[in-house]
Amino acid sequence: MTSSDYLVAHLREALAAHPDVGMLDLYLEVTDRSVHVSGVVDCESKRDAALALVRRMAAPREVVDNTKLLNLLPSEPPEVLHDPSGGHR
Amino acid sequence: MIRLAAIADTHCTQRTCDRLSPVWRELNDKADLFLVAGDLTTTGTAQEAEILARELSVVDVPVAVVLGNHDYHAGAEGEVTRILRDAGIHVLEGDSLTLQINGESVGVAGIKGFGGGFVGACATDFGEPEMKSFVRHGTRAAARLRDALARLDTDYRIVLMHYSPIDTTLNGEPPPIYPFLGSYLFAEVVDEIGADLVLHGHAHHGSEKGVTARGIPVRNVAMPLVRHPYVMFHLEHTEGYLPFPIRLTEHR
Repeated sequence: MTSSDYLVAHLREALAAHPDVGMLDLYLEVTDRSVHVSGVVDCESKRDAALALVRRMAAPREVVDNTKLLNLLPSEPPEVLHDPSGGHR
Repeated sequence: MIRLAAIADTHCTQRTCDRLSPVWRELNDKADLFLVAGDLTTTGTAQEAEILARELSVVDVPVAVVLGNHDYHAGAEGEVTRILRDAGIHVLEGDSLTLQINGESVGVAGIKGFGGGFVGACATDFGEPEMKSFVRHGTRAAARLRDALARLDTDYRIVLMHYSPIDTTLNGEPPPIYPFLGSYLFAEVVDEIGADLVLHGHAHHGSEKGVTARGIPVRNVAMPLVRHPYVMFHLEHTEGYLPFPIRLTEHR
């Protein structure tokens, strides 16, 4: 394991604990020169806070933002479940 | 027929407030019941619970929720529960709710659930006290779900959880973290007692659909996965349907 591998773990801990982020499911790829951040974030301010934290902890690495904002789609027609209890008759 | 709306992992914060209420208002025409499967908040503060309560205030149909792991983070789960209950929301944790809807009875058994893993790759009640404590938390939760589910003598039975009872709806997540995303103990209970549908969240990168070993449908309704403000289900029984396993009594 390299120092970059340990950094992934420390970044994940910090992202979870940060009061403006609180996320456990951002993916991080760390090299000696860069950190790629990916995953779905539910608002821009949470993404900004996450990226700022990663930049601070991973400096001087370049931070590449591959996150996507959660855009909710209109609801779909219902799933119809007939006699769904495992088919007990 | 029961019209059920469900979602999980709303992760409400001050930064996301008033995003959901405009679309949740639609449920008053479309659903008989709205269930939210945990991670209602981002860090489990009272302020975030108040934001969720405000978002849900536009929903006139009964609302039941379970808490998720995020809702415990600040150590204020009791206050979160009180705020939601004061807002008329049913907060379930090892207990159940019974409703009459369109002349039929509907029961919801709710529990947060816990990790522990799945058959062939699960934690065992052995060794250090810390490991035993981890495993026994899940075992006790499964026992509470069994009691809550067994008490329901209703036409429809729904299980509401945060953690997953099966590994199929975790497909898409890194397999090494499966033991932190759910436990087979809950599926075993559901298969023993019987249910019409199990709803859970927690696995943002998982899969939407699965079944227990006995074929009971399991749906992962985590909002980052489904990308809708809610998911609709219509539950129907045909005439003559016996919804739950017939239990054979052994006489000695």
